[in-house]
Amino acid sequence: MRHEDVSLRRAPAPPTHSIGSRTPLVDGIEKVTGRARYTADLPLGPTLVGRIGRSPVAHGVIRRIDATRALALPGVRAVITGEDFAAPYGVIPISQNEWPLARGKVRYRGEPLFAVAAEDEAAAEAALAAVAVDIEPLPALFTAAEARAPGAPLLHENKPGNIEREVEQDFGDVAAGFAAADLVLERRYECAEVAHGQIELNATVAHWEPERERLTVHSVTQVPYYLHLTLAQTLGLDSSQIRVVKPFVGGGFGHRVEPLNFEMVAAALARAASGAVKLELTREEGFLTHRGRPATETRLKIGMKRSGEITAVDAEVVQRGGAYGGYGLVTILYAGALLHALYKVGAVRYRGYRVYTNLPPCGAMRGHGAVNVRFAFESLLDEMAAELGLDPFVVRRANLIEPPYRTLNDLQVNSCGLAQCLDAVEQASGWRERRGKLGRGRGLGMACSHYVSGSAKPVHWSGEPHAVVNLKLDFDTGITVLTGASDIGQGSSTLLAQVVAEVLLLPMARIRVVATDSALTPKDNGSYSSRVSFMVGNAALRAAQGLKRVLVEAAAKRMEVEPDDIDWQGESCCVAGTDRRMDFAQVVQAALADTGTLTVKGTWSTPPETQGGKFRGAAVGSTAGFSYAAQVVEVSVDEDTGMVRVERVWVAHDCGRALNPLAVEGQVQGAVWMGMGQALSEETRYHAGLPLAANFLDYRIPTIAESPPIEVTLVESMDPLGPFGAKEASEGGLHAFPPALAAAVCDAIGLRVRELPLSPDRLLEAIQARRREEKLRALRAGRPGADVPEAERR
Amino acid sequence: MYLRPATVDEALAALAARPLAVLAGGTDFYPARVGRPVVEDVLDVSRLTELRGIRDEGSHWRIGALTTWSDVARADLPPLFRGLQQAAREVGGRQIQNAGTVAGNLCNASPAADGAPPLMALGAQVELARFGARRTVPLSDFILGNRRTARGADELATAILVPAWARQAGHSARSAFLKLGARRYLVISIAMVAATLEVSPTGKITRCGIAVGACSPVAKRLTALEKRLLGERLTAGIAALAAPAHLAELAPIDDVRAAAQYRREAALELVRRALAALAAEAGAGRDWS
Repeated sequence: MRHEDVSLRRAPAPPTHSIGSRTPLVDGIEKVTGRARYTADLPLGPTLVGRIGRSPVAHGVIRRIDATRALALPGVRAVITGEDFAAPYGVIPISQNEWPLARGKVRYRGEPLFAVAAEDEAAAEAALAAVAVDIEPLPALFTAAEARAPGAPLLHENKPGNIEREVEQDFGDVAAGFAAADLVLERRYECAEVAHGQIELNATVAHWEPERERLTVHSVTQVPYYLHLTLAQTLGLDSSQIRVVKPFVGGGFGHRVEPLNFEMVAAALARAASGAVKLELTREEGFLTHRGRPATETRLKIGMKRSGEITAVDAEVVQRGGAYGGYGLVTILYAGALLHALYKVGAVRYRGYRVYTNLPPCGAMRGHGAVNVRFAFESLLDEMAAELGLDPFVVRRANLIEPPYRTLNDLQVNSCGLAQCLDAVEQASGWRERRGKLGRGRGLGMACSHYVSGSAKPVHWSGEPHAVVNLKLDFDTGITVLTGASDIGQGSSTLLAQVVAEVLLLPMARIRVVATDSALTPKDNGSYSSRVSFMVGNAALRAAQGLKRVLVEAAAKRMEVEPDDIDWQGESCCVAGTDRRMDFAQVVQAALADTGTLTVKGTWSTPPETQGGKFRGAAVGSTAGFSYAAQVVEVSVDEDTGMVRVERVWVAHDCGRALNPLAVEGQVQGAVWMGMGQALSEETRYHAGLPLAANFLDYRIPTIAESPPIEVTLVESMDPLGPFGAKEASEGGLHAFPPALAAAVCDAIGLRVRELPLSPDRLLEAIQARRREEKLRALRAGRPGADVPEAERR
Repeated sequence: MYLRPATVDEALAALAARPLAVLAGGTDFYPARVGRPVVEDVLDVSRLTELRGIRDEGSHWRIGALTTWSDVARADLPPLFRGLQQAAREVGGRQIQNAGTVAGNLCNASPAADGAPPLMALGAQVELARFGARRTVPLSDFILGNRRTARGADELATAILVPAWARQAGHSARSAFLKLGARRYLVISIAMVAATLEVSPTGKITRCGIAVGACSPVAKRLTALEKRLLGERLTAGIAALAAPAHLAELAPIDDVRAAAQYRREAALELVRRALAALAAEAGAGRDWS
């Protein structure tokens, strides 16, 4: 086996001019030197201090909020409630049932109820305490089962049964599929709720200019343009009155892919106080805002032939969604769409239920909707492989998609490198020689995953192109990339500069990126569903091609030849086959002489055939390009304490083409690592709706001490639609970790765990339950030695 | 009022005059006051450098009250202190270890204080000074409950005194510490176990201290187990002598970190492992003090 600690290998698509080179991030210097300004670092001048008053009860009718005493306090400038907003909001246009501050009812403990702006923190705190609140409590529902029970009180009057969305999807003849199977197994899986745990605390700075009636908002968002739209809607402003800027953001992971209540609250406070308000949330408030991955129960039945071929899938998924819609209906649709589309399967029946409960709302989180069903699906494949005496790799290979391929649920697959991913991790991990041979307490497990490169249809279907990039080239001979794409640490600004440099064959030093300021940059839907590399990358590619055409034409005109005669070499160009040459500055000058400052736009939209089928909910899961990944996890298990230690991970990710291998490897490692947190130790917990782990001490994200070497192989399947062949790289590596871990634990100690996280107490309980069962069975069988203590039998 | 005296006497005089919140490393002081201003009067003892350091005073070792966890981890100490040094390396993260003091950890009296089990298993005492007077209190009598100690409002903890072990010729002593948390670092312990064993030249256990933390409001000595171990030969078999009944006095709770039942089981397993580890080291002929 290989001995290097962390080895990062990649398949050999050779680097070109700038694509494929390991490129440090263009904003890396600011970050490592501490010069980067995040929202909480803004602005330089004085601001009022904003604070949010939150509901002390999980469910209740708001009888009265009286701010009289608070407003009389010195230094208090504004107190606002839900009545100060013009409309409710929600990221999905058809499920907007949330107010920035609760109106009429509160539906979870910690829900924003009122907000204050004051001249300093002490005055703001005093104002919070002086607001009188009268809430009549209602019975609260904390589990999906309670909320679905007949006669349960309703969170939302128009949602009978507390069901936000019920999904029914049937593809093919499921009964016939099961009848044709050699093995049918059904199991239940449970995953605890997890939250994003982004390091940067939430903050918004809002500035209202009363003279101009204009609002400027700086916020921690991943979706500045959705925020813009939502500010206009909830504050009742005309869009032209609003400017939204996204400064440096310290991690998103989906926490910020929908406009969040505090952002609108800060803006409303600024307007009410006629000034600038800074609203900074605590870590606990971050967990209350949350919108992470919902607690999920999955019942899954799979039919399989002796060859490993999957004949039928029957799944029922229940998600405990929390108090409001958010992205909920998308999450439950993703769970169905990506449950089976990873493989070629015979038939599918899917039932999904998104349930309202009196807890903080859940929403999108890295790997949106597909992580918990992947845990169930891959775990069941592993179990069935064992029953059929098949290697888990063989089962995956028996169901591989060959592109171009249309999945059962009408998703278009144009490239798929899963076969190469499987080969890579099988070989790198020494699977064939080592699995099952590591001795008791140590084991290997594997699983696969896939994810979208951007949802093929935008959330707000306006008919506009899905991505727009503007390029500006002026007298200074520098190119400015103007983009609305939100760099949240994933490296999108760097990638766009690389794409432009590649097309124009220019050095990166000539290119600047100006991003995410609604007054300057073109609209972009935001950084979610791993859409930016694919969609905005394609728009940048087209913009750069457009600019190159303009420059080539100017050079041709100046040298009095046809554009086709120009041999473009970036820093200079020549008439092909001659020594007549212009350098870049001369070409730029020639072009400016014709038209003045050059501005070129590039746009891109997903082709219609990638936008999914015609059935209800078909758009969710559709994408212009699927990434694929496979991983092997090695663990050691301490059977007396239930502690699991991840020793090593091998992951192969088909990212189409690694535009920036340095960034891609980081993203893949981060995704695997985040999957490890969910699988091992992360879980939000509540007591009567009160979060018990709303801090980083008790919400246990792994530290470096738990972080194993993660060996990354990049597989390049060269997607026909992706920019230079590229696809998603930031999410797809996550999904396979939890099932690979559970499989590895099973290989280590022969125990299959179907609940996440595999925390020590949960695992020890399962180990002891198995011991008790074995003992009982032995006693019943009258086997001698059955009462020998466990410790001595091992 | 914020006082930062340069001598212990000044500090004691200030304490005699008015109630003051004592601040040393601040690693518990500040987290207890997040989001609100410090309103109480503070006695910052960080300038009392005379209280920092570890000294062999013959009949006992003196760990000055300002000695940090990093000081303990780096100090050249006999194997008697291996357990305490192990605990020092597992408290919080490196920044906490550099700032936090061992005495402050005891005075804060958290049920999950990492310092309590190893010092209890060493039979440590806490030295308390008030203006013009000084007394020592056994650690097991010093911590009274969750966040409660025997320190009077006018008293300052000035040192932790650890009795010398293995004073008879040919005897040796060694300690071990094991901590279980849901992750390795930056975690509140689920359970902690410390064990100190002294053995005679013939390999028999002549003195011992076993303590468990995070499984009751105050870390507890397992006196029944200690009695059971006395006179036994220190061999690999010794771990099996620890039985569930020896942990009967523990009162673990269900909380966000773990279930009571898990804590109880984990504590027993840790006790056995600590004993096994000490036996293995004795067997391997590692140096004992």
